[in-house]
Amino acid sequence: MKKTLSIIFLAFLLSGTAFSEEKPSAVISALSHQVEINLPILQKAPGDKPYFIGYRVAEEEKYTVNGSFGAVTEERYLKERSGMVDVRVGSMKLDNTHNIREGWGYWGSGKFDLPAEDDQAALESVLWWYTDKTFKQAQKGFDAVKANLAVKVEEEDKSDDFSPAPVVVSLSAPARLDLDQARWKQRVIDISKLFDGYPDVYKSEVAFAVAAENNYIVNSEGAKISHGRVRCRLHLYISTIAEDGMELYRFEAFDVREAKSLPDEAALKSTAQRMVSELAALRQAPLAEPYVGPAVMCNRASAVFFHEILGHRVEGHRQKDVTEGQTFKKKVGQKILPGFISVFDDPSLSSFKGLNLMGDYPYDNEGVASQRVNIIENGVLKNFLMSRSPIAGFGVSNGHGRGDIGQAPVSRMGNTIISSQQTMSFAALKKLLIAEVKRQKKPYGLMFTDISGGFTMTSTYMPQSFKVLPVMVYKIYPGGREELVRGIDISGTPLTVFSKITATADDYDVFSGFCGAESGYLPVSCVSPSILISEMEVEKRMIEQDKPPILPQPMELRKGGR
Amino acid sequence: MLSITLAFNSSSQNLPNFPDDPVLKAMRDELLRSSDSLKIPENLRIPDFGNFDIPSGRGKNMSGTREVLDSKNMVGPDPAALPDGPANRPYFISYTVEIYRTHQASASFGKLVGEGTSNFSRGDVDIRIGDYSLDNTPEGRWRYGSGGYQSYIPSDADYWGIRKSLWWQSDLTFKRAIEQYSRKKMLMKTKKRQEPLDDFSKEKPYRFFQPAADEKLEWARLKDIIRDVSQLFREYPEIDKSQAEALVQFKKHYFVSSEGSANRLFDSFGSISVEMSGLADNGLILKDGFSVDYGPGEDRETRLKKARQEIERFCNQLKAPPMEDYFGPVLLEGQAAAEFIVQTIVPLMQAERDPMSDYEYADNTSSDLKKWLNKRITAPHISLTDDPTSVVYGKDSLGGHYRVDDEGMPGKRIALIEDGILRTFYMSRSPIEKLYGSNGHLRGGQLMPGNLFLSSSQGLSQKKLLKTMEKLCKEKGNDYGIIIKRLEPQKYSLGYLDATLKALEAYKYDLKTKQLTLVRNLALRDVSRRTLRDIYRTGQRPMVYNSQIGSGIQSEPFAVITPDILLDQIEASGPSEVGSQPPFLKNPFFEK
Repeated sequence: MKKTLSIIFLAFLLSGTAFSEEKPSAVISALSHQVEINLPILQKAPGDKPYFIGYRVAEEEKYTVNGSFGAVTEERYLKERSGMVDVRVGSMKLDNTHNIREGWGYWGSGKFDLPAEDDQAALESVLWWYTDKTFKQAQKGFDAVKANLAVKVEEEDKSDDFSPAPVVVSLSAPARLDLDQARWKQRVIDISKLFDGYPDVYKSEVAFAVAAENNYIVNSEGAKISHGRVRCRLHLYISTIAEDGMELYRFEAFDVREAKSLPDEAALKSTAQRMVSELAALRQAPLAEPYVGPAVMCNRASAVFFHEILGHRVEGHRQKDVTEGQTFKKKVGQKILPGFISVFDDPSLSSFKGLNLMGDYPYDNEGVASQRVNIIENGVLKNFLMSRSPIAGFGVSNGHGRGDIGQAPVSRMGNTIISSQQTMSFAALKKLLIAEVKRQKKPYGLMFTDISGGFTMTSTYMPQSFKVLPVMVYKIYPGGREELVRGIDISGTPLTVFSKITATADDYDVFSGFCGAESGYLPVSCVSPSILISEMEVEKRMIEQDKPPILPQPMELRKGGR
Repeated sequence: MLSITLAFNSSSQNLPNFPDDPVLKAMRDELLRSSDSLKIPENLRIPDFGNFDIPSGRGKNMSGTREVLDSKNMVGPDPAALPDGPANRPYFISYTVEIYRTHQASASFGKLVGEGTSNFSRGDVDIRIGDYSLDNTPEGRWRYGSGGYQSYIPSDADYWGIRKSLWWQSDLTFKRAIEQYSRKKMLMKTKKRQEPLDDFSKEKPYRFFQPAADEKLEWARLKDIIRDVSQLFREYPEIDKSQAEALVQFKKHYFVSSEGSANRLFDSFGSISVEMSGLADNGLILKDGFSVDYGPGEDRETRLKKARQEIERFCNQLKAPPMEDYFGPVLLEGQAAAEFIVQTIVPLMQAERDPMSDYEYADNTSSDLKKWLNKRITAPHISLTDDPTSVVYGKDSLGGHYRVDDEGMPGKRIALIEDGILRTFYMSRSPIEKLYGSNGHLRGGQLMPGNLFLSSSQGLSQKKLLKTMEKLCKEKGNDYGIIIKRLEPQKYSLGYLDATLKALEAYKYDLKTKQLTLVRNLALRDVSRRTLRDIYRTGQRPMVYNSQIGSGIQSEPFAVITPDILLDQIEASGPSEVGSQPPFLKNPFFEK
């Protein structure tokens, strides 16, 4: 009862201070009307009563064009609007979304199509049907939750299933796609030609994608939110096969808010040339062997490293799920990183130190305003990323409830920033690496300048380790010589590796990409300086077994043609 | 073992020359180069496809294919890289390239739900190692080609881009083929066929180059039509969900083979379809759909009138009583007769060799009628012919018309059943027991009908057909017969005979009152090849039914031309599912 009152209080208090910049759109009107008429009807239905209905709508207008060696390979345009509905029966204390141990429960409505043209009647003609269906699923799900609680041991974390949140009313003008498609198609052709004429580049792709995305949230607590943005990405990819069969590639991506902010021709040409040179060098590079020794993880590589081994483990919902390893659950207030390192996640930032960030949003997918979360302060764990699913000691959302449309939001990263109070130039960091190599009497150290990605296992069913997949790795010898090598992956466990970070540089850089987890693929960014790790383990990577092409490629007919 | 003698050199002289088309040129040039590089024996391939200019601009301007191929610029494969021995040389290479342009949109309640356009392409490389009698191709249903790939193949007819893509895929396919061939030879040491069969039939090369066609598209008009039709559902509260979808596809298909076959086809596909669902009285969700004619000959008023009729028919279905268990005669009319043929006879006409495999549960889905060749399988008055060369039947155009199949073979007219006797099957270039040689019916990776004609020497007028059903009902002691006007279409595969056929529109025909009563959830049960023998009589007036297998852009159209069909006896039943709770909520639009 106390909690119910506090929700009403918050709603009253905060709706007065909310702002509205736009007139409600047809989408907001349709969602609001559905909430208004459906909740009272469903509350009179037999069985468990709903206490919350929430709608999400995502619009996307997207243009993509891909090119390869000067030819267009694919061109697509798409405009669509999708919805999902969440119905909760029971109470905030216990509802149908409660985790079912060793079983499956409520799935929600999933993603469904909605009219993309504004018309309230047309929108509602779809919404009512899915609301009804989801309500029935919620009732069944709640029965399953109650049965599960009755037969399983007492839960360690008895937190509520849903936390109160400030009610937000914020309506912004929708983002729209305004693009000269023909011009960008030609530009992709031109950029993709940059990789033509290199016999060792077997495959290449230049992909340009621009999308206007609009998100709408309305729920029975009174939230009404619409916000939009344009997202633009250009990526360059080339690949080859080494003599021993290993597939090698280079990849570069540029994420900006509008197409005109992409790098100019000269910058792209320079990038392409660097990629080709690096690919050629990789093809000739010797294989490295499994090794333990000091290493420098360069800025963007370090960003991926932190995203995988720290970021996913401080997502709040994982501390409550008994199938999760809960590495940091009982380490709040304890030192888990060196004292000079702090980590925060702030989706309200669109840039950091002049670097474009991709994981920003004004409100999360549960309608909570994005906010900075100081996860680690001076090496000490302080907080978790929280959605509206509370955990012991952390009762409210901090605006990190995220999910693709159709997927129930869980706590996820946005813009994760690794900051250091004890920095030096990158050159000085490299000197420290060499000194460490000598101190440990190791034959060489390792330097990771680029990483393609990685993955981490947080479940108790599996070894709770991580793997990071380097692309560009150099052996750094005591005399300072650098040698490019290939064929190794970084592996380890988080607590051990964190304790080995000894220094950081001042060269912050960003890695942006789409992070996949249980609530879908979401844009994220991670910023980090280069770091020195006194001891890191690398293991042998799987090598594909196909020979390089037996047939000569047709390009060889064109010698002198360009 | 049957065989024909090939004489590529002489036969190729009568083949049409290649048109001026950069895609075909790229495919041909890459094919010639691969054939040289991989050392296909000279007697098994066409010596040349003629001379032409290599496109200039992006590459060095060179003319004369052989000159180019023999020039010093040509760098052959490292001999050490090629597996040893002539046994590891291909005897056949073919390339397929398809370039697509698609437009898709859907609408609900009068408004567009979404729309998209896409331009893309896909290719297929087939490389066969060994010889016609034994090669690397895996046995069983999924042995055709490399299965398709989309490895950066240009969608804008770029000569060098296409060559580079084909080169890459050829190299991968060649490597796989060598391994497959090795595995197959091992298998042959432990397994033995009952009858020796070639793996690939020898065929004369065939070329067909369709003249370039305009891609006319009135996309805005089609979008208006789906808005218009979907708007009609604002008049029908009984319908819970509805959506109208427009799909237009243009496909350019190119094929070349080392034997000298080549083709270029321009296909277009367009449809407007409507799907709707509602809840029947007992809580079962019923789904149905219909297609909308969007041609310029159909005015808006007529189009909407027809759509309304379809929607109202479905609304009547929702209110109709469920079917009960039944055993007796069934009259299949119009679409139902055609779908019956599609789902019961067509799967039996797809004969493939029994797979030889080490797997215990190898994919053996071939027709079980193979041993019935030249034996009676239906009543003697029934004949079945397939003729993809037919373009129209009466005033109706035939959707199953095509010139060449996936293997570049011309689609041929075949008599499948003559006076009840099984004469042949749909055939690719994969021979089966007692049948050798393609009849050009491999499409979309499966053996497919083109235009399938069912006829009867004992066809009856509609009135007599009904009288015959009445007589059969009385003999079996039934008070009523069943008339089915529509069966749920088979959408995805023609390879499997489903034992259950679901009716979308079925009636009880009362023998006393002669009245028709609409029933719902009727399903024909225990359908098998024996059901063919239950075709008792047919009508006299064939109806054209155009349909397709597969969804969207990968679909393959076909037509069935058949009169109504009277089945002597078959089992039918009502709903087997349990209904769900009626909705607590209602569409607010109808609450006003």
